[in-house]
Amino acid sequence: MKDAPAATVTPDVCLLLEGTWPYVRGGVSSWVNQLILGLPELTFSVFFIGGQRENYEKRHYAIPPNVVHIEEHFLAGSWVPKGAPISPRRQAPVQLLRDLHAFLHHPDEPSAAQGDALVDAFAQGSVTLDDFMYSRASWEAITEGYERYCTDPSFVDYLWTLRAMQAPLLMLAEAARRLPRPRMIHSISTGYAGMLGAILQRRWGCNFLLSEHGIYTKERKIDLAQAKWIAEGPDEALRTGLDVDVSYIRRLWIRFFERIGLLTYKAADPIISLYDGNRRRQIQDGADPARCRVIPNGISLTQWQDALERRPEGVPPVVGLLGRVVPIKDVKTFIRAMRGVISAMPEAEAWVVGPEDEDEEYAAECHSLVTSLGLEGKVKFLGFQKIGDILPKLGLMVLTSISEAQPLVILEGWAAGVPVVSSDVGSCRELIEGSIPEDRALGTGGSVVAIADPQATARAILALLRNPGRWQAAQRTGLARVNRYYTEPLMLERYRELYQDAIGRSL
Amino acid sequence: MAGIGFELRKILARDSYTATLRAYVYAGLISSGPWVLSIISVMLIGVLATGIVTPNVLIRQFLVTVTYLMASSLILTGGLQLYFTRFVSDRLFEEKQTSILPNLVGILLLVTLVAGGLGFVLLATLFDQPFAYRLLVLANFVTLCDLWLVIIFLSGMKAYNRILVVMTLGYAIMIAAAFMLRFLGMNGLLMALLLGHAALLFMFLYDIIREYPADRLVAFDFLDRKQIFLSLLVTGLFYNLGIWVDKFVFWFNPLTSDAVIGPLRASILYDLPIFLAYLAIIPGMAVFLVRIETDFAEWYERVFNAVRGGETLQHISQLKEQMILAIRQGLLEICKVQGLTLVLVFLLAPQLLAWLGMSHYYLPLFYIDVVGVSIQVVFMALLNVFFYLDRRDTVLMLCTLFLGLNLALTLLSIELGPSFFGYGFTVSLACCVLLGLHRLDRVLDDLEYDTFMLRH
Amino acid sequence: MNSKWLFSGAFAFEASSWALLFANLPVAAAALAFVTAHAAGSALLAGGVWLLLPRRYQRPLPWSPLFLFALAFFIPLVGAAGVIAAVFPALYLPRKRREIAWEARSVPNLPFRPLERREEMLFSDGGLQDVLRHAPSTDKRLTALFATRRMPGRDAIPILKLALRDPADDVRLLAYSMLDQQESQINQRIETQLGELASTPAERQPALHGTLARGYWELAYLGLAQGSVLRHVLGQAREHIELALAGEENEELRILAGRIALEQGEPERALEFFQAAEAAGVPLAQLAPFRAEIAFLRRDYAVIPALLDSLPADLKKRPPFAALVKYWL
Repeated sequence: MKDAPAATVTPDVCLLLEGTWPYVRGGVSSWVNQLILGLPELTFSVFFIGGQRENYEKRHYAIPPNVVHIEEHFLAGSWVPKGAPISPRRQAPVQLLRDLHAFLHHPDEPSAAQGDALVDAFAQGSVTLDDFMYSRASWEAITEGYERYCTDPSFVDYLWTLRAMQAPLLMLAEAARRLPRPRMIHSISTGYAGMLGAILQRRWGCNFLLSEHGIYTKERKIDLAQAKWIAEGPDEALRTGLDVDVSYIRRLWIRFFERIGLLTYKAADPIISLYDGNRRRQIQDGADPARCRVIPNGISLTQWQDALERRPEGVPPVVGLLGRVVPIKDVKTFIRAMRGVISAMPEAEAWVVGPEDEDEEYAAECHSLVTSLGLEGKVKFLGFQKIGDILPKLGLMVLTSISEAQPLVILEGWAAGVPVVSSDVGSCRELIEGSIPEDRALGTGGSVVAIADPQATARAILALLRNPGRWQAAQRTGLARVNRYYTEPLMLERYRELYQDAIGRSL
Repeated sequence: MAGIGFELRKILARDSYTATLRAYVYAGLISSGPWVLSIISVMLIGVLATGIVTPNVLIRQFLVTVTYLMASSLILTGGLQLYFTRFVSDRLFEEKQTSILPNLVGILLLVTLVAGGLGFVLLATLFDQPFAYRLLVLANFVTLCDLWLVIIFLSGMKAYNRILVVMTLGYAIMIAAAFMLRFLGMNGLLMALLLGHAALLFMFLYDIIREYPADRLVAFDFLDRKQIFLSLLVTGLFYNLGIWVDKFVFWFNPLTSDAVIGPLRASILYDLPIFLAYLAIIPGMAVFLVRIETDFAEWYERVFNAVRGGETLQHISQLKEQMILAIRQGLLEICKVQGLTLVLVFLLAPQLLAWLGMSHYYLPLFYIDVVGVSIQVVFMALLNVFFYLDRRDTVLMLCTLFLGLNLALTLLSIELGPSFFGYGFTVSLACCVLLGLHRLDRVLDDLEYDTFMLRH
Repeated sequence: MNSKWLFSGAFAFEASSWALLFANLPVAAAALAFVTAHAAGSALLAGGVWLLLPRRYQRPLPWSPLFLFALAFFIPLVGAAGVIAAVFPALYLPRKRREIAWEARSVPNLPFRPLERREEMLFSDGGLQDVLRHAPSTDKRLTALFATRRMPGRDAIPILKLALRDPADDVRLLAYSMLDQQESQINQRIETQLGELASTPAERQPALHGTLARGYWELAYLGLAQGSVLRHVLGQAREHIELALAGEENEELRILAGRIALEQGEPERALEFFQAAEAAGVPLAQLAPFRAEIAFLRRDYAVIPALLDSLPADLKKRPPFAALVKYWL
């Protein structure tokens, strides 16, 4: 579980990462990597939280030298009871367990004081995992809650749902007590990592910085809405019309994430988001507006200079989608859009550049869609490639994702001189059309279309490919925007300031 | 024992008086069959031998030999019986039918070798009887040990008509053989016993081997079970020891016993009443089997299906209430029926003893013994309920307590004099039953908590 | 050594051991002699029986013959007989499993809790589109999307497509995943059926083509395919239905072919199909709506009232026909 030499130095920053660096390849992990590498004068300790150990086999990022401590904790094991029946050894704190339930699960809005008391209890270890899993007091709290509020018939589902929610929290709280104390805490999401941050902040009294890429609670709500592992009772199948309720178990999960998200927002200062839309969402979810700030991502321009220079004259009729072939990138809409583009412009070509091994079933579906639309040879899957080699050959970059935060790939495309057509998700509209008035004055770096609309996407692509004047304006805008607002040094400088400030304040 | 519940429920579902009567008769025979039929046959043999086998002391020696054979074989295999029952029911649950026969053969092999070896050593060293006698005793001992293990399968096989026929046939062979061989004296009687039990053993083996085909003959999977089932071995051992320990105390106390044959001692004043008293448990055992294996087992199944099947807590509690009611009613019915039997026996005892040629001095001991064995039926019912609820620790505790109390109180009763004889057995059982009921109360109260939170 | 010899030897030894039993020798001598003779007899018997066992019961060595030996040896006098008479035959005669043909069951109980009908209905079914357009609360719009789960595809999909343009991220994402699920299901079916095409015998191929045509048609009909994709899908549907019709005559297929042609914008071809279907005996009432549409496209307005009149009465009262009937009749 632990790695690297034992930390005899106090690490400057403790990073709390949930399901990202160093195991999962993706935007957030790369950003974390960027941050650690870009601030070599600071030392980091990393607390990684994952679901099941088996899903995290390979590390995709090398551990830089300024990471002095890594530990990993996997939540899936925490609610699996050990072999023979356990007799709880001590009298569990009855009222604390009741309050824990009330805060996390009961429909009534809890007060700030309740939240504080809860974080205190976690920080001091007044409630242990064993208490929750096996004590009679816990049983009574659970059955009380069930009898008063639960509309779902299955008690066994209710019990296991509660276990799956609370056991990881308690396990993390216990693990946190063994953590070497840093100078400040930085969590990259709310959820379990954020909650851990709130607990650590209370325990050590140091500063807690939160930066969110996607909004965790929102993403979990979407996951849960589609989750098939939540069984629906037979009653629910019979309901129609708008008196359909989301099932109680789903509501429990949503409520749980909302409540711990709230605790995280209350404990963190400052709270960073990538763009204004997310900032507004954070405030809506209970964050204090005074603490909320926007620090967008940034890319290192020097890397892409070369790609910019290698561009040929004119507009290559090649459209590229740079991203993993997974449902959230909606490669199928891209392929369908290309059907329209290629019908109108036969010399056009489409490249899908990204690894296909994450969701092989989906990748196979995309391939067969290409075949069934008659686009073989026109739509090529290039797999994982170095982006710097691909960008000079592209005429346009297209993003058809159904969910994004602030895709770095748009910035990279602009830095290499490629305009972007994107779906209207996350910060893409703000990026392409500009956020603050001075930014908007620069123009648009491409085009924004509605999600899952292949025809609109096709029209936008054709509009840019066939109109060199417009294309060049978009290229200029993109370069200007990236240089002014989205550079890596800018982002690192802001974070450096934040870190220095937080460390300074805690001394 | 689960299979028989199924059968009984089928019969009872026909919902007529004859059906109910039939169910109880089946239950009575299956539950008490081997035990009671053995006692009856042995007594019949004794009766048949009177007058032909002289001197009469030989008959007494025969009876005492048989008693020791029963006691030793039950104590030796008691733990294995429980353990193996659990093993078999686990395998049946996992649908691994092909592993049942090899493991049965394996355990029979083990028991045959151990019993044979042990018997050989004991007979060679402790006895100085003629060779034929010792040989016959060894043969009987090994046969009995194997037979107790094979009887576990009776209920699982669902061919009750066949089982009854086989049992009747076996004991009939025993009695017929006794009739024909009694002129050979002790050896003839022992030979008859051997023929009867061996016939039972092999007839049952024939049926079982046919019923459970397999892909190999011998397996020892039952030897590498996890630690928790070791408690079953100890429980079985202590239970059977507990039942016999008071008799042993009387047998090996010079004041109350005398040497009968070789190292085997018996107690004239203690033995007869208690073996007679055991005949009186037949009604109680029948009721126990019917009530526990049908009503209780059914509600138990429903409660645990509800738990696993995602029912509301209120529904589970309601079902649990019904299950508790079933237990209560079952126990009450056992008490009622056994109580009625007690009263009848009490009323008829003097005539009964007179008819059997026993002096009326036996009466007080007989009365207390009948009460004792009646309480034993309730005790067995309680243990069975605990087994269903998977409380192996409670069962072990109760059996240990039973053994300890029986031993201590019997020793005490000997100290206190003849009017207290028999109280050791009865009082120890009464204490265990009371404690058991109290524990059952607590266990049932906490059933949901325990099931959901502590057990998986 | 073959079994006959083994059995004879065993019998001899056993007989001698029995004789020893009745010989009344002193104990030690008797014991020794008996044990040796009996052991030899048992061993020979075990060997003989073992050789004759079914192959699977001869394993595992050494326990298999040891078991036979132990039974015979440790149950002197009768064990041998038991092994031969009971154990040996039983190993050869496994019992057939009896099938329990039926089982008596009692009437099951009513469910524990009655279904609760909630009184508060927020909106009626038809207002979902309005909810999506106008409701200020994101939660209400999300609930509206959930309600479409119980609606038939044709009605749900326009609502979901509307929700794709919703200002709130959650609503868009949920609508997208619900649409995607519907589409994936149909696409997966088409995939599997395409795969089966290669291995289906020739007489079943027309039916498979028919199913494929229906699958593609469903994508078009539900509105899941649009633009070029729609054209492509309709083309595929047409191919498959023509292959299906070439193989077997089927009125249902003809009607479908007609609808496909209509959707592709070829009313003449569609009319051919419908006329062929009518000739084959399909009632006019079923074809009337399509014929009316074709007539409208061909500007043959005179025949439309007659066609609409032939619709069954209850259909004339409900949308989408009610308005049409009001206008034309």
